[in-house]
Amino acid sequence: MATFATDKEINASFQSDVHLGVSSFSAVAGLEDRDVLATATTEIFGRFQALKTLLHPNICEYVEIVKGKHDRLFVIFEYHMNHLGKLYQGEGGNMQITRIGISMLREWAFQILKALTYLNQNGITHHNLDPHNILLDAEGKVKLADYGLFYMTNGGADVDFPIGYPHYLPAEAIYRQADMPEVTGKVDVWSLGVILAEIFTGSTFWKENDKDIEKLFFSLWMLQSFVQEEGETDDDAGVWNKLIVHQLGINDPILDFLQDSADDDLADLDFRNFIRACLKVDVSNRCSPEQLLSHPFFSGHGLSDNYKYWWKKPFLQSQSIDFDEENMFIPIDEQPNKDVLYGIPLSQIYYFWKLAGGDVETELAKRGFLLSTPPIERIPRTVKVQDGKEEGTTKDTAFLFSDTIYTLSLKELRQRLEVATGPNRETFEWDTDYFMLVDEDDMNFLVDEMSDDDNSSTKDDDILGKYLYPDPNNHKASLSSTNGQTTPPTNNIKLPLLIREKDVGYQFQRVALFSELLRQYPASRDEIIHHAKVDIPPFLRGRIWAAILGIYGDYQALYDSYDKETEKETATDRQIDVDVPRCHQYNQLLSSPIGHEKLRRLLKCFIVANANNKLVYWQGLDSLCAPFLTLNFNDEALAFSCLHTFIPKFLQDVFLFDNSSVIAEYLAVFKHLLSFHDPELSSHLNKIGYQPDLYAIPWFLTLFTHVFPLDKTYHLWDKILVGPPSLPLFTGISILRQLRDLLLQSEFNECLAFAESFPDVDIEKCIQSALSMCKVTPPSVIYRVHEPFVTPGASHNGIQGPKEELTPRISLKDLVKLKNHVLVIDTRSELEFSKGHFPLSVNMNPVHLEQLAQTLRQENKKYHVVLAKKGDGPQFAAELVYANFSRVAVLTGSIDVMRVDTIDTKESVPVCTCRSSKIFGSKNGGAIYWKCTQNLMKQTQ
Amino acid sequence: MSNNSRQGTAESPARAGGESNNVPSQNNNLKPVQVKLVLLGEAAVGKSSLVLRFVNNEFQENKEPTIGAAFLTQKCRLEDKVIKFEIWDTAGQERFHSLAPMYYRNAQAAVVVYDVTKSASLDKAKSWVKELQRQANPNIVIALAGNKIDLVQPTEEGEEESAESGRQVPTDEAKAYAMEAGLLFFETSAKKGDGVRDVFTEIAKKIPLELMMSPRPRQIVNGGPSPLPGLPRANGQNPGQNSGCSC
Repeated sequence: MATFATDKEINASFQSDVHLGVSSFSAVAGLEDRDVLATATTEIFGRFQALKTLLHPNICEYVEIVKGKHDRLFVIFEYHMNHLGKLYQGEGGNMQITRIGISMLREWAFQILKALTYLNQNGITHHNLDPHNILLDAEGKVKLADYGLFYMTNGGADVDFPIGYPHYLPAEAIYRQADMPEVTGKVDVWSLGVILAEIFTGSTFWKENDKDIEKLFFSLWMLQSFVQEEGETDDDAGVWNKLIVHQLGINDPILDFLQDSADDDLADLDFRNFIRACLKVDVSNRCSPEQLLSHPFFSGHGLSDNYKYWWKKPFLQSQSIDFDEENMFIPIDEQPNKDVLYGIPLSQIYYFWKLAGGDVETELAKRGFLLSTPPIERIPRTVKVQDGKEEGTTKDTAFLFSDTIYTLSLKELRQRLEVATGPNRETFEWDTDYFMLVDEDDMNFLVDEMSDDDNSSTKDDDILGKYLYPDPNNHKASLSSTNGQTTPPTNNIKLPLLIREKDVGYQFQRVALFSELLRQYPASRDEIIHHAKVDIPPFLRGRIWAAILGIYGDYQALYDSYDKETEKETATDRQIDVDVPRCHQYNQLLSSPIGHEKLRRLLKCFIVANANNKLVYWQGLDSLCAPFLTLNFNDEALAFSCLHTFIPKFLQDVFLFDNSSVIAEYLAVFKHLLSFHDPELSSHLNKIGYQPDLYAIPWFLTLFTHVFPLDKTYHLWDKILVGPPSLPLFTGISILRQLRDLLLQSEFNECLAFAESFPDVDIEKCIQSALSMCKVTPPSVIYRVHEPFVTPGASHNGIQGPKEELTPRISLKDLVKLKNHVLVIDTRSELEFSKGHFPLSVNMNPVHLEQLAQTLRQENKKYHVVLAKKGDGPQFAAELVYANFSRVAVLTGSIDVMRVDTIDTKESVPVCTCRSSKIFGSKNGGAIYWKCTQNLMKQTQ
Repeated sequence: MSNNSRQGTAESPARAGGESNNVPSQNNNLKPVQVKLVLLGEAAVGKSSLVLRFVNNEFQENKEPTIGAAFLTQKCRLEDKVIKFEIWDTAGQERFHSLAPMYYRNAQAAVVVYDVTKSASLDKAKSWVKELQRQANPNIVIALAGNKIDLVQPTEEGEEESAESGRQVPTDEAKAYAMEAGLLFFETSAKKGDGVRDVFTEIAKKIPLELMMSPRPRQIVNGGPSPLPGLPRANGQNPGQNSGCSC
């Protein structure tokens, strides 16, 4: 269950002769009412999604639905060139049908019934069965197409053309009566009977095929009325021996076949009975597809449903793999003659086809379909006064239903991919700088944490997995190259993300790599995380996120175990009901009725599942759901599990009933970090009163999902999921810094207006700047009580200053690590300073900051840590921020922490007591400062 | 947060500027008088939509919920004065209630919104009015606005009955309550624009003249909300005092 390889992926290697077909139609009221059209289109779009999950050996896969201009819909599906329609030649009454023998028909009938049974089990009635959509693949196997039209259009309600070909429809599909049961799969049984009878007899079922539909409808009505009045006999013959059937316009060969006669060939009897069973006029007498599978016609002919090459879930899964590296993986390169698209699921092929420049709408336009007529041409030439009948109108093909199927050419895609995967492809090399962005001259707390900890290797690996971006020197992670995809990412990494995402060659390789890793999940989880740090291929994003979050086990059962359907008259339910139809409604999935239902269920489920954790529904939770739901639209349970795992990891306690302290702390740390990294901006914003509580609550409450459109959110979360837990905070700072110039020039009102309407924020730059800030920020500076997983090393120095302080606190442990990057500014009295101070620190009177600022700057240090008398530190630190000193923090516990004997001797710093410390007296208005020059630190190292 | 930016479309209507058609150009030299206004009311009654109609003359179907609060400004002209509304549009969900005082404190005006098709939303509006009268600026001008009248207006003849039946709050009932509580009263449609402008102009007329003309209290200079109790500003400084200070 839990493996993230889908049925379709596993079975993809059994495809042969792959074609992508496109058909197109518009929803109701194409011209009159835009709103109705849009609503119906959205409904169809939502209902279609479930069709993508269907998989059976005898049906064509649905791949995608695309909304084009004028709300026209394009459906892309698996297509095969051969179909039963090819047996039909000619038009109308001159139709010639190639006759086929019973044994072949038996095979086909069996496979069609298997397919219909599968569809019925999934709540789908074909209602559109026709020789032209009974396709045959290269091996002659039946593949039903077009079976989803009736379903996705809500039984035809969303379109204004009829679904189903009248010649193949039973009476009940045309004359529906109130007391009749729902349309069922039995409709298709009738159609099957007609088709088989036609191919067997070589004659169309109805005389004058194609003409006079009214007469055909009348005949069906006659049949229905007859059966209702007289009743249908229980025997095989049904109505077919009655006289009435001769008045209906059914072709003689068909009737001859259906009726008892003296020279009946016994071998054919089973077949005739089977057709008669299909053609029961009264629905209640007709069998369902599933019942027909056990008809005597099929018995004893060695038909079986054992497709030797068919795999279905659940797959074996293991947390660890022992594999024979030599033989387990056959490198792709060793199959030079294989089609480059071999073994790739159709949905992927279509995705690559689009990346290679494909667009269904332009493709069809090129072939002359969809030529829309100018509106002036569509005005009727004459309108009869009497009955209002219009004449002389030109029907616009762009708005009509067409059952023409176009196939997409994959030639160009193949060429592009052959270049991209061929021997002359761009070679992949790790780009060290990209991952590490190491500044030799600066701190890197992410690396530092690793080397700093005990030498137990498991711990190192753990941290590595959590924080470090892929490191070429880290051999542990390069284990990945064992699985065929020997060459990890390329020079392409240097290109901007948006370009990489549109590069078909690059995505082809990324998708191949991650597909392989997902097949091996959960054993491959570490590697997935490792590679995800470079980037995540959008095509597989949903499942990669789930893998990163560590979703494992029977998540479907978990989801099923919660009650999310019961309507409760609670404030929460009412709130969810009003929020769901307002959540990211520009998104086609979320705006569909099916999308609303799913989102509502997810939210309710989350609330029920977290009742014991005291989490409640806050507005904004809907937005948080949105990325997971849109990425796993057909797997609600997975979407739920992702949300359920994500929230405690990244938004611990945020959805408590009383979250004020959590939010306040978050915003305080945010403010501290802004001062720490951008003192100028921080002091400006602080002076004009532009406080985070005014604009940043939706940022952090929803991790930016309420602020950014979904496409930006995906990119942001790609990084947040694999990044350090403080990344969202730094992202917020990056956003402000991107708007820095604007903000610095603006007053309060204008600043607020910016937060209301973000100019285009570059997410990739944002993330990069966030990560580089993260690297140089000591853990104690970021520390939050409510942080979900405590950063290693920060556990014992979690003393954040009061929330109104402008600057953060830093722990002694982190201060020591800063070494020669830090200037410790001691503002205690000279006397106290001389009694003991931090090595290499300077001592000054806080009132002299203005005079001494220049001298302090000349020290040229990156970090400035204030060591002050208890309570004085924050005030002076704020002044440093106002004076534009970077990375200012206050030492937690002041000098006392150095005097306390810490248990960990590694951390203790000798208090320097050099009495004769040199005086750097800059006799500038009486301002002097002292500087300690004895580097006691060195001796301890 | 505006939906526009979500859609990634080019946008930037004169937002902070609001130099819209309300202000004839010859009056540009007039110094605008700032009025801080807060919108309160139950979730999904149309607070944000009212503001959007007033500020940008737009309407968005299914506008996304407001989280925390949103801030917008709009100028409008009243006789010889130009009034600049600084509008705090708050979140409707009850859970965000604790943030509300931050926005209504120091506000000179409040629009309390309910949905005419939901009687419960009027109850919520009443409780907001009570809270404002008890805790907000004693001179605050409060307007009660019954929104979504487009849903109960007959669109064509013959539909009158069925449309009217969607109404749960009779105009008279709400009006009577407004009279009794001393509120301005309007029925509005943010979707069609009916009555929206009246809400703001009537408020502007009713705000005590001396309050608008006299130098305004300092804490309103920035239009900023005042801090929550127990959440004083950085270093305990009020930004109002800070802004004039050069240090």
